[in-house]
Amino acid sequence: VAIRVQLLSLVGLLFLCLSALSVSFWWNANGQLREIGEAVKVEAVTHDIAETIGAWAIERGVVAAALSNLPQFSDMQAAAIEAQRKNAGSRVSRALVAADGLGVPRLTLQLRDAEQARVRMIDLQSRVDQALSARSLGQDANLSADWFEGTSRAIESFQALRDSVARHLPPLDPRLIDSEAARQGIYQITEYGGRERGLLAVAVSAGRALTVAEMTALSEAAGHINAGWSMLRARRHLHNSATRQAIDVAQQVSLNNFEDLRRSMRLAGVDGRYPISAAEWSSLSTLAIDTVRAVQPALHQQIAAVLSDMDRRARFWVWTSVATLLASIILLVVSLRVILVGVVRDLEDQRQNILAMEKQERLSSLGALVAGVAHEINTPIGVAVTAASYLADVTQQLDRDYREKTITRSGMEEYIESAAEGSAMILRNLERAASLISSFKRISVDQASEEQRTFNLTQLVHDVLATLRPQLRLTPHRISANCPPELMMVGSPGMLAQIVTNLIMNSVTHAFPGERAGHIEITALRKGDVIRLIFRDDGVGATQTVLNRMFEPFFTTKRGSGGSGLGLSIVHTLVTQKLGGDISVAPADPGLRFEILLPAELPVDVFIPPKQSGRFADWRHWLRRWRTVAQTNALTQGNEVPKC
Amino acid sequence: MLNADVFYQQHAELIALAEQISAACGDDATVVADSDTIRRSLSRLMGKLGVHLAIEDDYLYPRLKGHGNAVVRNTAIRFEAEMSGLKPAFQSFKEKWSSEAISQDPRTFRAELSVLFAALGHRVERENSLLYPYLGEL
Repeated sequence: VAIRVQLLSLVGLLFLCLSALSVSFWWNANGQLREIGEAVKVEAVTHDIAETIGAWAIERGVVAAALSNLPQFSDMQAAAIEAQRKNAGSRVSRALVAADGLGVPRLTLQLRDAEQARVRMIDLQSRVDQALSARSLGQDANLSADWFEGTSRAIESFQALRDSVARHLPPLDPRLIDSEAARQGIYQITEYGGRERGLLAVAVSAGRALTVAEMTALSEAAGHINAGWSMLRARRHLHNSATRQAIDVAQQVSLNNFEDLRRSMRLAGVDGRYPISAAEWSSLSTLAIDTVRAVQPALHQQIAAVLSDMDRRARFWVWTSVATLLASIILLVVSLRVILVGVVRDLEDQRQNILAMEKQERLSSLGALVAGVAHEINTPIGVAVTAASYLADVTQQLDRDYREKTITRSGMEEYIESAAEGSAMILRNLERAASLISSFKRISVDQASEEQRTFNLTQLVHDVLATLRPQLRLTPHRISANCPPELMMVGSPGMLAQIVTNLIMNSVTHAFPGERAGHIEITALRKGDVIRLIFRDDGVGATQTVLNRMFEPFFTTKRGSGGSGLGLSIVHTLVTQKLGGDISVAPADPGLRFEILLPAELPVDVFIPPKQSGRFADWRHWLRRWRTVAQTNALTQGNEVPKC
Repeated sequence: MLNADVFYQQHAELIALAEQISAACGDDATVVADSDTIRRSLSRLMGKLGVHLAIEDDYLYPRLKGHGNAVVRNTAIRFEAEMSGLKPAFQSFKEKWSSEAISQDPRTFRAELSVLFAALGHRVERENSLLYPYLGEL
């Protein structure tokens, strides 16, 4: 049972740990699901933003493209490009080469912008020249007038724009500043780039170009989008390689697009307009939209796969935790039951062992009684036999004298005296043997059975003393019984004899160490329906600790010296469980005083021994014992005795 | 357990009878005159003593000599050696002294009776004081 209990307990604990682990997994999976839900929301918002920006950019790009497709504007661009190609191209190209050689990426980008502006400026100058020629030719007066007016304002704006750009340009690398080529490049950037942006701004403003607020909104939108991507990237559980790659691609595309946008912002005009071309905007927006649209399905698929996987794992751990929790509870219940059964069995085994040892002790005392009987009866029988043998001899001698006619008067008188003395001796000893046999028979029969009958307690005490005489006469102790002659009671005399025997032998064994002669006094009296049996010795007594444990099974102060520790335990068991009484012990001065209270007529059901077959037999017995003790207490307090 | 009271009582009865006989043998003339009575008393004494000595010699001493207590055992052995002559002495005394023999030689009878009773008294006294206390050991 102990091994089963240990194994089941271990398995139960193991399952409990598994259950706790499953609960933690389930909790973690739930947390991941919540985060995934947030990520999906972010992703959806980001997607909406990207779509909105793309559509808005396309709209703006279409407007700009419509403007840029004006036939006059195209003609002027072509004329300008042709006119300026020879003047500005070589200097910008040299600045670009110098910047590449210095390895300054930011300046390289600016120079490339300047180169593109220069090319466009050349084209524009060509068209201006063509326009001037046309005006001079008077081919298109309206256009010439508007154009010159706009051109004049543009030139003025250009001067201001150039200064502004020069002020707002980020600080350049000192190595570049010291370079003559760089100085030339900066000049070209500010002059031609600014001119181009200023002219474009003028052209676009006529058809509703982008304002600062719009550009700022776009930039903020880009920031939101990037923040969305960053949030997705921040989800550690999404660090699946494919998903991460898809996010990186989408984010990089957005960054590149809006980096271009921010570069355009550096060239903001003095009138607050951003001269980004419609074609550029259209190209950027289309690229952004296409990229987002290309990336979104794959991203959706990846995220859906991750969500599905995580959902499956979460469900698995949820069910696992529930199953292990149920298994743990079942195992714990089984373990507790096994433990309880084990404890009950252990207690039952212990009780059976005690009962067996008590029975052995009683049989042992019965054996000692038989030995004492044999010894005690042997003496009077032996004397009687000897006397009878002598009588047989003298009778044979008388018979011989008679037949030989040699018998004398004195011989006859001697024979008569011998016969009288011998027969008296025989009779006296046989009477004693008969008396002893009668006492022994009563005691032995009573001790061997628990039969209930009416008996004389005083006679029983004397019988017990007779049976113990062989053992007691080896000691110097004196035992006196102070009992009324006719103290009748109804009960089990065998148990009473066992109780008196054990108390006497307990005192003989423990109360009088050394050669000291002690006195044991047994007093019995009846008061009402209660028999009070007082047993007192004038020995050394006992400490309070010993008194407290005196009736415990196997408690002895003489372990290894003949004490089994069961004598007083048997007394307690017989008095309280078998006879329905109570026993107490208290120090006397000197010695100990045991007081036993017994009902003079024992209720019948007290004698029913506890059934051994039922698991709850002991409980019923204890309940019966409790009722009996309650009755005894009522008796001792003079209350009315409840009937069982 | 052996009831020592019986043996003490027997001793007392034997001594009482012996004293009665001794009193009856105050002088030779009395002995001659009451020789029949004296002999009857002597027969009673012999009958009672025979039972007593038989129990002592055949039961008491063997049991005491086999006792586990060495003191008891040695005492019994010593007593048996000392007292073993009493029984044959009484036997020869009773065979020798018939009523007629007593009448014919009262002086010698009285002398031997005195010696015999002295031995009996000595044994009774020693047994009472030294041996019988051990009867409780049986």
